[in-house]
Amino acid sequence: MIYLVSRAFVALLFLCTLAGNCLGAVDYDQLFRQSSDLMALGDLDGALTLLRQVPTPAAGEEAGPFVSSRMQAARIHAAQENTDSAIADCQEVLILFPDNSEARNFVAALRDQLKPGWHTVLSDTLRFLPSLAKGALMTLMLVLCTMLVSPLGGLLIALGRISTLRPVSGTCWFIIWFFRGTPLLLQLFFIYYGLPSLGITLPPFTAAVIGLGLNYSAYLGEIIRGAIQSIDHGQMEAAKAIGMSYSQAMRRVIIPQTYKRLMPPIGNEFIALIKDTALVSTIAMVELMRSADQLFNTYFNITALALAAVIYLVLTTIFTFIFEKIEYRAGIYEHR
Amino acid sequence: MQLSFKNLMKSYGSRRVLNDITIDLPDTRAMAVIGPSGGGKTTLLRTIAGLERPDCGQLSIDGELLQFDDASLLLHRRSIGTVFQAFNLFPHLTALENILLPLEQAHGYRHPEAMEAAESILKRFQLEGHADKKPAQLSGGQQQRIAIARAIAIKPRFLLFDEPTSALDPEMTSEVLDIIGELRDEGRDLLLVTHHMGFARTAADYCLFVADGRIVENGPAEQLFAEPKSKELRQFLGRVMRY
Ligand SMILES: Nc1ncnc2c1ncn2[C@@H]1O[C@H](COP(=O)(O)OP(=O)(O)OP(=O)(O)O)[C@@H](O)[C@H]1O
Ligand SMILES: [Mg+2]
Repeated sequence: MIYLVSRAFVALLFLCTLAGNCLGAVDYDQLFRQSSDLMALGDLDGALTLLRQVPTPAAGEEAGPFVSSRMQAARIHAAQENTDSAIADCQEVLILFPDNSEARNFVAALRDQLKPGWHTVLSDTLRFLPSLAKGALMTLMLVLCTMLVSPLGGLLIALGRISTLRPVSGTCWFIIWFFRGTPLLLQLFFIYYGLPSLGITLPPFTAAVIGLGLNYSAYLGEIIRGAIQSIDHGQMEAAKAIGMSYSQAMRRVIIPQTYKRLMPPIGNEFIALIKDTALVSTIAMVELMRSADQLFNTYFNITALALAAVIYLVLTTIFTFIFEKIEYRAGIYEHR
Repeated sequence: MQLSFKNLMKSYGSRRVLNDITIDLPDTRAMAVIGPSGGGKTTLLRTIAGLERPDCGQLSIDGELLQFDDASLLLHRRSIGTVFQAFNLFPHLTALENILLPLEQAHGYRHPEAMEAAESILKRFQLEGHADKKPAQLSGGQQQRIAIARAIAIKPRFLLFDEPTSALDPEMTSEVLDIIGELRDEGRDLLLVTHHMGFARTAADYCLFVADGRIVENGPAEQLFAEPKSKELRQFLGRVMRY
């Protein structure tokens, strides 16, 4: 829902700037707005009539509104399952601009619809896979960066929490309380859309990693703290008794013993992370979810979403497998 | 090792565990601490080990007043070897690594020197064959012997043992007591909390009887067992010697 509102917001902004630029020219924005209003009311034919009013541009004239109107008309025709008219709309664009990829792709998609089902799915898959793969790569980058940052953050937060210094443990308690207590989506919005008003503007990728990193640090912090405190007190005693300082004891004795019990819950968190990266599609990141969404909105084709689901499953399966291996190795000293 | 206590007190909540201990003990080599459960033996040993801060009072070791700030306690702990009844070894490290850890971390040995020290001590205790095993792969007696080897490797001023055999079966108990006996014969200073009265009597040259948070009686081990003076000690010996 917030996603839609934010998109509407962005679209509105875009239209406002356009309107500013085109003062004096024919007010196509008005026309597009009216046509979308009609669509929203279900009057598709009315919308079509309006869109047809945009004339074919003469040489040297601004072609944007024309292309937009014909493509919109094609989408409406496609939605009415009037494939022939939809293809005709695209052809109008292609006559003037034979290289327009949107129109070409749409025609290809429409032609495929006339072929048998399995064939369509196959060719859709081949067509969507490159951009979905690109999105998946971005998702993977986000996951890996967060997986690098959040265990370190989590460890610091955990050590801070069990510190006897009041201000330190208080601060860490607050961080956990805040980041676990508010929605990740809200945190991402705050970092990406909110911070610029404080003079801090971050590129989407940085904002996404900071948001995911902080959120997951807070969760991992609690998990790591629990694991540290579950190690028998005798171990800290024995480490102190042989003359190790607190930090040596933590580094060499206590924390290494937490690895095995940390792995299952951390594995869980990282699986959740893979799926949570979908939320960053709301802050202008083009990752797997956003790529699938874009394809779906362009072609009204459910195959894009199904493929994205499969890719998410592949990713989570791979990570589950890796974590099981690590867990086994971390616990090797308990196997005789 | 010579211990002096002055008004030493320690409470857990409202429970007084060390109750105003004031005593100058003679300079001894092997000292045994006996007494009923809950009497405060472990607490006393942990205080001497620098693992416990008393609420008030003083403790001198060989004429040196022990300071109870973090830095002094850390240095103090580095100078002595302590072995508890269990949980001495670190389960994620092999026997060898367990011995290397304090040498390299707390005593600044470089790896080759530490290896040399660790290997020679393992050899001495005939534990070379177990160097690369994790604690879970060793018997309780072997684990305690490794723990003792680790305590000795750092060349401590003296050794503290808190019931090192109480978690072991009789056969393993004797293999551990044998080592402690050997160390005493070498002339190492040690203090041992034990419930093996026979061992305390023969191996120790001095003995403390601790009950109700006080050192109720002290004296040469032989004398303490042969002619107990206090009613508490007579009762205690009567109970533990019954079987
Ligand atoms: N950390 C602690 N918190 C609260 N009470 C404690 C703590 N450690 C010891 N005590 C209490 O202090 C008293 C003395 O304990 P201590 O372990 O010194 O006795 P002990 O003579 O070693 O007994 P045992 O022979 O059973 O080992 C006991 O009543 C015990 O319950
Ligand atoms: Mg005890």
